[in-house]
Amino acid sequence: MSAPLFQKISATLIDVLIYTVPTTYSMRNATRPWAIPLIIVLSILMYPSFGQDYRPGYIVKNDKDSINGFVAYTAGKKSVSTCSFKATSDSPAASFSPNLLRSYGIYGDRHFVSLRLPGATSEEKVFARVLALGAIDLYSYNKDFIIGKDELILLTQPQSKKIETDSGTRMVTDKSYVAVVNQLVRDCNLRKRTLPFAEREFTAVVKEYNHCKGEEVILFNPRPLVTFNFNLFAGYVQSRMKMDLYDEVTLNPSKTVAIGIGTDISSPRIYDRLFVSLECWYVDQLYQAYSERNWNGAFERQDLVMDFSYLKIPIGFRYNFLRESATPYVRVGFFSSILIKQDIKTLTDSESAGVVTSSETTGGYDVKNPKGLWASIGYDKKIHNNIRIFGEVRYEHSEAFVGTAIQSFSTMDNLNFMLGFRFKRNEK
Amino acid sequence: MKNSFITIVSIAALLFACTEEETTSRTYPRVHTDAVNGITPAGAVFNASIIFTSVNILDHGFVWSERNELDFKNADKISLGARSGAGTFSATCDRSLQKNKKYYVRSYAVSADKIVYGELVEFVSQGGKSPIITDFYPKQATWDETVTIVGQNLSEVTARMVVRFGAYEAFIVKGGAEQILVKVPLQLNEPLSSISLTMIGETVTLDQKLQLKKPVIDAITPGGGTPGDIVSITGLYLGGSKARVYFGNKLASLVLSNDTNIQCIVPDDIPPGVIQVRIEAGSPDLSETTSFEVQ
Repeated sequence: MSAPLFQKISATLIDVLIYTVPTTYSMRNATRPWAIPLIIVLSILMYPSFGQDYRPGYIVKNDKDSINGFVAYTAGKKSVSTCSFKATSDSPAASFSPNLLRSYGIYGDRHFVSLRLPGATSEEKVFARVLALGAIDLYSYNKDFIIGKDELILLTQPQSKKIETDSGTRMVTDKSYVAVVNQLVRDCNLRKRTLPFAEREFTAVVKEYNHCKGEEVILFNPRPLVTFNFNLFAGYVQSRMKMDLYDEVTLNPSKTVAIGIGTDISSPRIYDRLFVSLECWYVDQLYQAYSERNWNGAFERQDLVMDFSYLKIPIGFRYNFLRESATPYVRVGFFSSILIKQDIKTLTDSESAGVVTSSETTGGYDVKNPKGLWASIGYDKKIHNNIRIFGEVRYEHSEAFVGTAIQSFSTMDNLNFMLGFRFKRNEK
Repeated sequence: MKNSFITIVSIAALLFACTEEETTSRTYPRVHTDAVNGITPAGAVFNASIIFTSVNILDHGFVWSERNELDFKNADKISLGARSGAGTFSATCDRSLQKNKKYYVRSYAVSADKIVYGELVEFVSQGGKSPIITDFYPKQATWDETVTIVGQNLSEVTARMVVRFGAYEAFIVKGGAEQILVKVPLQLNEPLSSISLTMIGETVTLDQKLQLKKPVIDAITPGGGTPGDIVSITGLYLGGSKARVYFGNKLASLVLSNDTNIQCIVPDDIPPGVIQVRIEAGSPDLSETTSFEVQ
């Protein structure tokens, strides 16, 4: 699906949500608030740059003219047959075939060179991804490898075939590539009995050989498949809870400070601006309400105090708008909670004939673990090598604490202001 | 550096912005009873706090009883007097407490137009000080007269105490921590009777005894007469329904008898002359005489 068509569909869905949801459902059903995260997601999808992933990179033309710009991050056969390049992030993209370029690459990531496949009959070139350069060079091309010492040798993916033996049918894999590699490295006595047909193992042999030859090897490692950021943050939470048991009661807003930890998981190799977020917050919220009534011939004044401590576990997605050292971002997701402590008390003053008698009761309400949806916007900035600082504003709407396992009698709207640090850690 | 400073300052500011439990206002003092502590065989310590007040507090303290419906009328009380403003208060209770018995206590505060009781708190007592009675007055009294008994560790709750003059139970008019008012029982007929108090399972007796007042004859009218005549004897402490009138050794029939006036009939078979008329107010030891001329 092309990017412009995708954006049109997103715009249409947003119109549906904004104009039809309020008239279809009542406000008490609170469907509109959970549409907000959906609108944000669709707005992200409308962002022009979302259609294709262009990353900072360069091209080197045949006349050795090197141009910096943005290169499309593509995978598979497309990356070996064409290079899509933009001089600036706003300029239109131009496609280059291997015959038009010497090489192209993405900074901090992949590097491709243009070459003729060994044994090719035509003058057509292909883009091969450079894995290592040194006394022996190593490239990958689709699922095959190209190894170069004095000349380029194509190592194709070994085929397996069935053979009949006295003891039955067996699968035999063609391991002739092992002999080829051993031949190339024989002057360093690095003969391998077995060599898996994989990038890591071939790269290790090349490193060994270049080390043996005393030559420095240049490795072009791909970006990590999975990476984790760990977050530490504190937040100011303003929460408003409504109960609807016998009468609707709006409790006074609760304002508190919460602390939490979290992690963002991403796959830079696939797409480095989208993250899966997981957090754990510790929150302690205090709600109060006051009411008056005539009851059994006396006048009652009642204070309701609800104090809840809980762990809130939001899960969601984060999208960074930029790859710069500082970037705005959005997040959406849902959360569940684990109630740690609850303290509910009702203070009643009953007045009759000038005598006021106070009483205090505890509990009296069924409680449940809140869960709901959230959406946020934030800003993230690098302050040190692997440390970033961020600020975020988050809105949450959920079932609140009062209710049973099958029915909620309360809702909660939270506005969170967060400040924190992100610590980057890579894993392959 | 700047970013870190801003972050730290922001987080520190957030820490001071948390919601705290708010005490909603009233037009009367709000009082909260806390848990009882310091429970020993010598008593217990009651604790409470005035959590809000916008008016003058004329009195505050605690009421306690073995019943869970308690107020000034049916519970013992510790009064701490007037106070201004909110704050905590406590009092040591060392009386009217029986060992291993459950009691209930409330704090209270009194303003110009309201009495406010705090929450009910219960506790099991390990005991308290024994009641003590040290004195009484007046030392001489007559039936149904009010006698004040002075002591310590007594009770405001009259139902909690039993006062006896001799073997007869007295009506307690008013209780109190240090003195109680009782009525001399009408059945009392001993000139001297002991006074005892029973409370929380303990009985204490005063060394001194109450002396019943002897009859006082002011006049016998007429001063003389014949058998069958009605004469009137006036005076004090004449004994009422317990009175007996003797003309010599003859018991006279009473027409009217109260503590200040007895009307009786001169008995028959009394020889003429001056005889002694004796009034006994319930006991031969409580008697007085006068003279009467039989014609």
